[in-house]
Amino acid sequence: MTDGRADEADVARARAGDTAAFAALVRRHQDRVFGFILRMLDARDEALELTQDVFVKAWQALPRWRPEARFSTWLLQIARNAALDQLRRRRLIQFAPLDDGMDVADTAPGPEARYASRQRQALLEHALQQIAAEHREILLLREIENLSYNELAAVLGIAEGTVKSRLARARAALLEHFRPHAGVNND
Amino acid sequence: MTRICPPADTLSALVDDALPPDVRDALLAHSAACPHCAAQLAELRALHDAFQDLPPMPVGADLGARVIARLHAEPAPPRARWLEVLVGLFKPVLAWRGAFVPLVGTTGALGLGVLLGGMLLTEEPAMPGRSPNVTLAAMSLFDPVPPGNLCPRADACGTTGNSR
Repeated sequence: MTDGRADEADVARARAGDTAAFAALVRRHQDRVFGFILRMLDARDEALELTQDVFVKAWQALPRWRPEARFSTWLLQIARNAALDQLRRRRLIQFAPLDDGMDVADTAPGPEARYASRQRQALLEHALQQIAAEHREILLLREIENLSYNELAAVLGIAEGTVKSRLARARAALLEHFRPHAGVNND
Repeated sequence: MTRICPPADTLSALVDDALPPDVRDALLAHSAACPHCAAQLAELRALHDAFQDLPPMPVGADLGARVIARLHAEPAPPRARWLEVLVGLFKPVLAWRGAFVPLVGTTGALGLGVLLGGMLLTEEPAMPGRSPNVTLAAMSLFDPVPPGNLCPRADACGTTGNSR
């Protein structure tokens, strides 16, 4: 069974009050939601707490979910709203940023290439934190979550034409801080 | 092939493979001959590749169990919650049998008030020789000069010099 079909079946059971089915949904999507929130907030403990809040909100909003939207996209919409709320609250409270301790995949063949790859990943993660939240969210949803323009428009509540222009502006903003060819940070 | 360089959002959409085939082909043909657009396109593609290289960020814990534990702490099913809140509001009143009569009385009084108020605001049927704008005659009870009183000033009342 594909994830989409499994989601629909589990949502139907969860709507009838089956918490085990909802737990299955949580396990299937927890890494995706957590990864998105962590990259939005750049604070692991905060992201872990907020990820759980997102699933609790999703449980409460389950009656409003319609199968026309993918469950994972709908979840990302809740996660996006929660992350933006949290960023707004940060104007009053500052959290410790995530500097290191991040698990980095070891896919490069040799030590030098591995080091270069890790350095590039770290620079990109750092550059993402330098740009506006509205640019960061659209890049994460497009590049990491592979949302289509149509889905981006639905999640962000904007027109598809705006998606196109905002993505272009977000990429330009990110390239101000990260040059993928040079592999160096412009800051 | 067009000689005009495309706008940035079109190049960005090309990387996302979000352009119609004819536009895409024209853009690729232009980029092949335009070093500026070729460089921009290469940078956007490299940025896309850099995102694909980012490692996943696993939670490293079973959030399913944690979330379900939180849900069990507040066991109301999602659909019945609003009903429970409503019932909860009236529970203390309904639990006391003596409250039934005052509750019915209060509801009746409020209903009667709304009904009478509504009657005051309803438009009266048109009468011959009467101005159509005299529709809220009953509300004149609340005027600063009650009906039948002498007017303190000429402009405070109608043309007769008396209050309405």
